[in-house]
Amino acid sequence: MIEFSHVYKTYSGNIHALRNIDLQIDRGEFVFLTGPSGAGKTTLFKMLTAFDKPSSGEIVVAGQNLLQLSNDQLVQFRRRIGVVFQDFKLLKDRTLAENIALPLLVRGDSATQVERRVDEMLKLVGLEHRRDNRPEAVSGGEQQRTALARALVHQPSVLIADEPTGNLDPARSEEIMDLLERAAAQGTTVFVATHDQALVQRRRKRVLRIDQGLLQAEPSL
Amino acid sequence: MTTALRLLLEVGQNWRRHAGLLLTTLIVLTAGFATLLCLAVGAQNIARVLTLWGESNQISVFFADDVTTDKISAVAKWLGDSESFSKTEIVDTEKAVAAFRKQIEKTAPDLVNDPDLAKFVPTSVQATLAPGVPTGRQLQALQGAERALSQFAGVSSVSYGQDWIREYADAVHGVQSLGFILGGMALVAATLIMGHTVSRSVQNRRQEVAVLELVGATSAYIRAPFLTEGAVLGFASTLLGLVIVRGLFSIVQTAMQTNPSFASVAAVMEFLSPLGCAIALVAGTGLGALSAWLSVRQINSGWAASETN
Repeated sequence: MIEFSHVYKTYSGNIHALRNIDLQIDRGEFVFLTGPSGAGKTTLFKMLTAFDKPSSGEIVVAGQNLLQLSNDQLVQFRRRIGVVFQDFKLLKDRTLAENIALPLLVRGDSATQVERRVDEMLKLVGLEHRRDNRPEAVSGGEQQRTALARALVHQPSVLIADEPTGNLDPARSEEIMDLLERAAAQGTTVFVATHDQALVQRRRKRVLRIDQGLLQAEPSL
Repeated sequence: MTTALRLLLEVGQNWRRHAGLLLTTLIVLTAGFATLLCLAVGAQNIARVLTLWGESNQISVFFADDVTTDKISAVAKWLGDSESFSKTEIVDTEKAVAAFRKQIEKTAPDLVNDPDLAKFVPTSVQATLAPGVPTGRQLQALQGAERALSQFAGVSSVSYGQDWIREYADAVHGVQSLGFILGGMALVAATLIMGHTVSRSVQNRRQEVAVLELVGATSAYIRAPFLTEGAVLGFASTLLGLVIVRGLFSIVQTAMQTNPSFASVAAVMEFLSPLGCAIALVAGTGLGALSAWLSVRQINSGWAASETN
């Protein structure tokens, strides 16, 4: 499902963000990515979402070589992935339901389909009672669940979550992880970057560690 | 329909958030478009009053010394048959000399009894423009008649005050050229101002653009609200400009109507036709969309999201 082959990324000033990354993640797999700040996690995720290109190497996601996609194909590719950010990136002037609906609206789903699917997602993340609230009117945990619902609403084949529990208390973090695991169980490949070692150890999933742009040997759990 | 409504709602929401910027832009743009419309209305009316301020709306056809009566009659018949002219009159040499003597008896009394005077005053046919000829077409009618009558046998010259009209036309041309320059500058300024506003709007909504890119929105989908914003801004400022200039036009026209010296000019002055207003609105809207387009060209697949951390 996700395959990196000899991927390098070097920024101007001879900064090596990624060095010889080789990586393979299968469909429906749940993988943690750990590492200190500045280790290359964000760069790796940008490559994975095709918002940046490697200096060399090859990235194949869901059978598509990301370096060979046209602009139109990139748009189609992004409709097949979901992304969750630590700072949620919800649109403040829209309700939670409207935020969740975005991926469906941009691909032109009908209003009925959008409403039905958004209702399902609100129920899944336990936010039916908040559907018409704006992000600033709900808690951090609720915002993160909204962001997760937005990332899953279009049933992506790959879900990428960058520090999805970074701003949450332990109980809320576990809730989010449960939702991510449920998505993986339904066939979505889930790739989560986190600093939270305790959470990683509790979940007992495959773990990749990145440091100074190098993907290191996976520690056994 | 739903898409158009969504875009307009988005524009409304964005403008509520940035009301100050919007108001400033709208005022400046309205002033710019009002200037342009003033120039357009002015140029239109300068041409319309062209013949009003001439020495006369009369055309005179002068004949060679050896002209025969039938040739004079042919010219008189042509003018008499023309719908553009009335009061056709043949002024023979004797009649013309008498009239000329009357004109100069005070200024040049020595010449009044000059027996050679008749040599310099040819026979002519004179006619005036018919009252039904629209003001805007009077010059065209005079020029057309000059061309046609010059072809008649025996005609030596045709006069309708060409020198004055040429000078006036040159002046009009000068004013219109200046108008084009000023109008061009106003258009460029309006484009830049609208572009700047939309550009600010794009920057203010950078995170929204990034999120839309992340969820797979096409560039066209992301650009559409900004293009709509530019178009609405162009439409609104042109509409306001039209309302202001229409008000100013009424004030000026009323003031001229009460002044006997300008009453005849006021009578022929006209504001832009409904078609002209519609063209102005379409042009303003198009200009708004165009300037917005220049600002949102930068948005392509991943423009904002690539800078997301």
